[in-house]
Amino acid sequence: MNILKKHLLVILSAAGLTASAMAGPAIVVNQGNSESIDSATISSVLVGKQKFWKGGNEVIIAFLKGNASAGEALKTHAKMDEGRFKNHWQRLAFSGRGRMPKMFDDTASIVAFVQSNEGAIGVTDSSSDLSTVKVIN
Amino acid sequence: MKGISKITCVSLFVAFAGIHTAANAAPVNIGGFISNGYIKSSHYNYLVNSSEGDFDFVELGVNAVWSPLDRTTINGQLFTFELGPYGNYDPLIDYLFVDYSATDTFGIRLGRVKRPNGIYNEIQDIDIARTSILLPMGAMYDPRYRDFGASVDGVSLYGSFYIGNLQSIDYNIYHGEIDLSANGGIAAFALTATSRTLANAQVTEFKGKTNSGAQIWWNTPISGLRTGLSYSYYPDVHLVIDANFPPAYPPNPMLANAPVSSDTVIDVKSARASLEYFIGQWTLISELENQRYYTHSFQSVAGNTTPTIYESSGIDSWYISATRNLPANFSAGLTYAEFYGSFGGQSDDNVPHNNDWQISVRYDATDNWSLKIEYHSIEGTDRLFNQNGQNPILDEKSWTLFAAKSSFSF
Repeated sequence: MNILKKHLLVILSAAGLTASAMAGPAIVVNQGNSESIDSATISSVLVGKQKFWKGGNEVIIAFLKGNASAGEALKTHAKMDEGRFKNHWQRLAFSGRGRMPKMFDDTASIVAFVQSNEGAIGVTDSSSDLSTVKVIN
Repeated sequence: MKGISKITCVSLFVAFAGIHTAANAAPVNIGGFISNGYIKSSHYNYLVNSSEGDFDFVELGVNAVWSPLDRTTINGQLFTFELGPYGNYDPLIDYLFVDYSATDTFGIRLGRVKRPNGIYNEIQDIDIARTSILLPMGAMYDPRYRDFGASVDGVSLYGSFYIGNLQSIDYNIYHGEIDLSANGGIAAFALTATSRTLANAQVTEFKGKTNSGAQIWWNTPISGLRTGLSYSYYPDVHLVIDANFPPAYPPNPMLANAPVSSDTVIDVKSARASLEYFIGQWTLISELENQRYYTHSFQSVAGNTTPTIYESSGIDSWYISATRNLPANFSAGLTYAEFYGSFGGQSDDNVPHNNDWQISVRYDATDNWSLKIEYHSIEGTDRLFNQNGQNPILDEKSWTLFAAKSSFSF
């Protein structure tokens, strides 16, 4: 019985690792955000040049810190690594030029945040259930 | 506390009056920072009582941003600081404005707005946003000058537009009223030369009217490289300094203890060029500034008024710095800064001059807490003020300075 349990655990762990390894960058917005968001818009939003969606809602960035996939998304769209992204936004936020991105430790929290904030955009990975938000990348 | 001008009050009133729905409003976001530092110098008192070592180096700020209306935010930051004889923990409204972003290419801010002027002016108090403790020594970012240079009560227009081939232009134009302090750092700078030669020197009037300026950044097609120009103009800054001749005045004993007053109106213009390049783990920054002072002044010596004197003088400063992110949450930076004054009439040997080699190390202990240490090797004495008699005699050309700082942000 113990051997069976061990095998089961190994299989489950491997499945988890595989899912994690296969997780890629995911950029998500609220389901109610009906705007057409292209790569240029994502870039403008992430560097703080575009502070509002076309509908008028303020953009709020949510970021999954210390995550390779989220970091990859930043490099692709904002041309920054996580450290520079944080520094860039500290410069903006502490001079009144923008709203500091919310930093999260797990994707589920980002999904919950984006789900409850119409102007939110989440930079995360695809390892969790993203069915309640809209994936735009 | 620095008073709030009519334009700031009206802007906020209009914004609040217009609030009719907050159904989709983003939540109020509150952030802040607190830092405490220590400065010890080999000689002289720079910023604080540094010759003995001094912890009197504190910054504290709390800010909030709220979007009550579509495309509109209200932004504010309360700030207080202590830096030797400056600040004294008096609360300051660092900025408080209504920001309407019509499009990405055009926005308007009304209220107390930050002055964009180079890379650091808007964030000079924000220790967590850089590796160094002190910004490059010189006139550009002197922490004692914040009443002169941090913000204006007025309006700024800003925006950003793409010009193809991954390039974009950011612009910001501003105009507003300023509120100078007779006890502030820029007044202390004005008083320094007088205080070393005369007795009882004090600034009795220091008023400015407005400040206008503009900044433009070109985000080049080279990823991470941007370069910018900024210009600033302060018309009719009025400065009155009263003093007495020393009790013993060998050049003219008749003038011993006689009152002397200097009344000066100054137009200040400055132009700055900036370059910032993020490449890999490196950040390379350089800036160059020229400030010009156009003055007309007269003096009253023992009741006799001199003819009006017209003069032009200036200050040049520049610096270059390289910072590298290192493993284990460390970063390190090396900066070289130079400062030259040109106040007319000096030989080359007597031109005020300062240069500073600065090495900084930062360690981010957590996401919100950073620790820094810094060493300066300085040649020159021109950034040493004396309004409180803290540097009466300048007898050493070379001196060193050590600083340490802990900063927490939330």
